[in-house]
Amino acid sequence: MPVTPLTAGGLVSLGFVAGLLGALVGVGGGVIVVPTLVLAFHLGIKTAIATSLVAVVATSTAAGSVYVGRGLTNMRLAMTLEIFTTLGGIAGGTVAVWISPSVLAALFGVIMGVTATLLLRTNDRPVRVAGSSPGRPDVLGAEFPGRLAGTYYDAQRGQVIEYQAVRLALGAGVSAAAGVISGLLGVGGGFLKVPAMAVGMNVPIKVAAATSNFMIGVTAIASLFIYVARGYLSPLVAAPVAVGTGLGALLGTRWQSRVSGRVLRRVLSVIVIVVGIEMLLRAAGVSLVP
Amino acid sequence: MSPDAGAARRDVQRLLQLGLAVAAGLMTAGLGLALWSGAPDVALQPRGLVQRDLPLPVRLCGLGVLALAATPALRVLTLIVLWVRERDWKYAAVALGVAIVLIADVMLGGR
Repeated sequence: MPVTPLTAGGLVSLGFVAGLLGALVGVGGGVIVVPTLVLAFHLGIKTAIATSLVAVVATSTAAGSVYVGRGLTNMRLAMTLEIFTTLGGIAGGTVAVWISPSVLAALFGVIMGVTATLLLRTNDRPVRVAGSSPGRPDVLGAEFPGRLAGTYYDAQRGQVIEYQAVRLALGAGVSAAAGVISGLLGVGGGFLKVPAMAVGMNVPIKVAAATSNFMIGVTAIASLFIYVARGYLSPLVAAPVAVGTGLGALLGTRWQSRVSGRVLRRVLSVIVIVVGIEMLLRAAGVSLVP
Repeated sequence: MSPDAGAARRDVQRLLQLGLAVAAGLMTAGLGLALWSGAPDVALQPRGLVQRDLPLPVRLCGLGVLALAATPALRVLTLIVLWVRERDWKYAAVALGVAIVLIADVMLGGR
C-alpha cells in the first residue's frame, strides 16, 4: 500500500480511536483495527492482524504506564495469568498463519458477536471486598507480596478497597483461550479476561481492566513474532497505527473517570455487531462495502 | 505490605514511558521521512532491519516497532529483578516462567 498523507492520516486516526476505546472500555483495539484495515484500507487479513498486534502492544504500554502509576494494575495477577495467555498466543499465532483468510474473516465475525454480547452483559457490579477503610484520592493502590491480593482507591465509595483474587484455575483457562484468540485474530482478548476477572475471580472491574490491559502487551508480542517471521508486518502501515493508538490510549486514561462506561459499551457493541456481520459476509464472498 | 512496592511500580512505569517515547520517536521520524521521500512500503522480515537495501524510513519504523515490542519483554525482566529484591520468590519464579516462554517463542517461532 503506498503511504500518502491521506492514508497516513487515516491510519493515525484509526489507531487513535482504537487506543481511546481500548483504554476507556478495556475492549476495542483489535476489533476496530483489523476490520477497518481489511474493509477500508483493503489490506490482507494477516497483515491487518500483525498491524493490530502492534497496536495492542502500543495500547498496553501507553495505558499501562498510567494505570501502573495509579496502582490500579495488579502486576502479580497479570504475570500469573500471562503464562497462560502467552502460551495461548503462541498457539493461536502458529495456527493462524496456516489458516485461509476467509476462515479467519469468518472467525473474526463470530468473535465480534461474542464481544458485543459480553460488552452488553459486563457491568460495574461491586465485588465481595476483603476489607475497606476511609481513603483519599491521592492514596495509590498497592499489592501484597506473595499473594494475589491488593488495594485500590474507589472514588465512588471514597474508600480504599482491599480485594483478594479467587478461582485462579478459571482465570488461567480463560486467559489461555484469550491468548489463542489474540494470536489468531490480533485482538487483545480483554473482552474475555475482564469479565472473567471481574465476575469469576472477584477482582474489582477497574483493577480487572487495568490488569488485562497490562497483560495484552506480552501476549501480543508472543504472536507478533510469528507474523513477522512469516513476512506479514508492514512497518509503514504499523507505525502510524501504533502512534495513533499510543496517543488515543494516553487520552483515554485521562478521560476514564469522566466518560460513562455503560454508554460507551453500548455504542461499541453496535459498531462491533455491524462490522462483524460485514466480516461474515466477506468470508462468504459477499460484501456490503464497495 | 513491602515498603518497596511503590518503588517497583514507579520503576515499571518509567520503563513503559521510556519504551513508548523511544518507539514513538523512531516511528514518527520514519513516517515523516517516508512521506517526504515517497519511500515504498515493504514487509519486514526477521533479519530485515540489518539489510542494507532496506529504505531508511522502513528501517526507522521497523526499529520503532522493535522498541515497542521490546518494552513489555523488558518489563517482565524488570519485575523478576524487583521481586527478587523484595524476596517475593514465588512471583519472581512466575515472571521467570513468562520470560522463558517468550525466549522459547523467539528461538522457535521463526521456524
